Amino acid sequence: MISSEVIRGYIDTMILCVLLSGENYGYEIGRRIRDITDDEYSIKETTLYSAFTRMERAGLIESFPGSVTYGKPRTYYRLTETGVKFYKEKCSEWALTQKIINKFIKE
Amino acid sequence: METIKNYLDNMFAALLTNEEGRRLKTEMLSNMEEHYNELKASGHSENEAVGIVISEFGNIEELAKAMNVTLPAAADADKKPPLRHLDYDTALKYISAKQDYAKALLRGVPCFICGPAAVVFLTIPAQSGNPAPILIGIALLLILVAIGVAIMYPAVMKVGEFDQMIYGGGYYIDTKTAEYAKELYNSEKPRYARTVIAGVSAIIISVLAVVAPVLLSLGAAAVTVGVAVLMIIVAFAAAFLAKAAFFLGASGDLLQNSGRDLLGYQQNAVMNKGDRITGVIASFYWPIIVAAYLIWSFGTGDWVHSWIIWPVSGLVFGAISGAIGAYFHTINK
Repeated sequence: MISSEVIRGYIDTMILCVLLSGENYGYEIGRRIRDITDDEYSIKETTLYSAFTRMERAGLIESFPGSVTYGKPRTYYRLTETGVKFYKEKCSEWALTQKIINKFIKE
Repeated sequence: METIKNYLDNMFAALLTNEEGRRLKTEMLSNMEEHYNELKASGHSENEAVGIVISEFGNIEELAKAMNVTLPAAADADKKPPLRHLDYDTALKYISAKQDYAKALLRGVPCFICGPAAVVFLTIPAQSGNPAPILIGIALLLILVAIGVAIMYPAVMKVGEFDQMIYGGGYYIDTKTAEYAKELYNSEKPRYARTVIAGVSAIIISVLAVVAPVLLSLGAAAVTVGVAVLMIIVAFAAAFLAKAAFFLGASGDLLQNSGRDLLGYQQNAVMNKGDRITGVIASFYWPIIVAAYLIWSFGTGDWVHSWIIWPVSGLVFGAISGAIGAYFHTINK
């Protein structure tokens, strides 16, 4: 069972990682996350859009009207420079966190 | 798809005064529609697709918080209850309760039918004018009914615990549960089909047990034995058929009812009412028939013909329960 408490701190990192490989829209980003985790983690719609809202305010990503998919205009998201920097910080933060926690994982 | 739109309307009701809220709602509807279309294209049914999409919506409060909007807390108290999430563990428990119920039917149904069969059989030694065998038969019937009730009661109560969850306002299941239930359903289906063929064949062939002694003029006793044999074969065939149907239904119903909104709930509740009325009728109908059979047989001594009461009352009961089912089905429309 995945602890939502732990994963919540890294939702932004997941989305930023997907956006690192190019601009994208909501559904496709959610699906990439599902695919990358081999269906082990499926991000809820509200979690995804909360993250977009939060990160756009923080200047980590920016949105723009993109191409039309299934007859619907889509909002696309792309990384900003601040976002890339933030992503790198989160990666080293996780590496350190993992190193520390691992020392306590015996089972 | 209409259910998803309504669900989203409901969820976003408090956020629509906000420009950002309206934009996000449109965006999320497109996403959910895309997911829904994908699920439909990959072979999921309407209800499954709706259930999965809704189960992956999440929590509107989370979004409101990110938008810095405070949701009115008590305002939606009188709104219709949203579909509830039936989690994987609860779904497993529900399926296992239904399977236990199916197994209980396999043991319980023969008890209910073998009792009358014993009474029919014991009328043969009673024809000499000695009522003792009939009394033994009736005692046996009551004991078998008691055993049947003892077998069925715990299983019925266990399934009943889920009534509120299943019929009390609708539910949805997540992808993992839907896939598990679907796999189970598909693996049970061939067995169900085989049981139906075998069971129905057995019932058709069992008629020979009565027809043969009549055609061969073997006498009243042989015909009575034939009736008892027919009832026992029908008892076991019916038990296997009922078991197979409920065993398959354990996963089938779970899938079928998932994602239904209040309309579905009302439909279920009304259908349920029909089942309950049929059950009440059955509880006094069959004892009356047994009594009528005994009174006719003993009163006139016409054992050769009185058995006809069983197939006739069976058909009449079938017609009654069919009519009740149809009535409650039509008043829904």
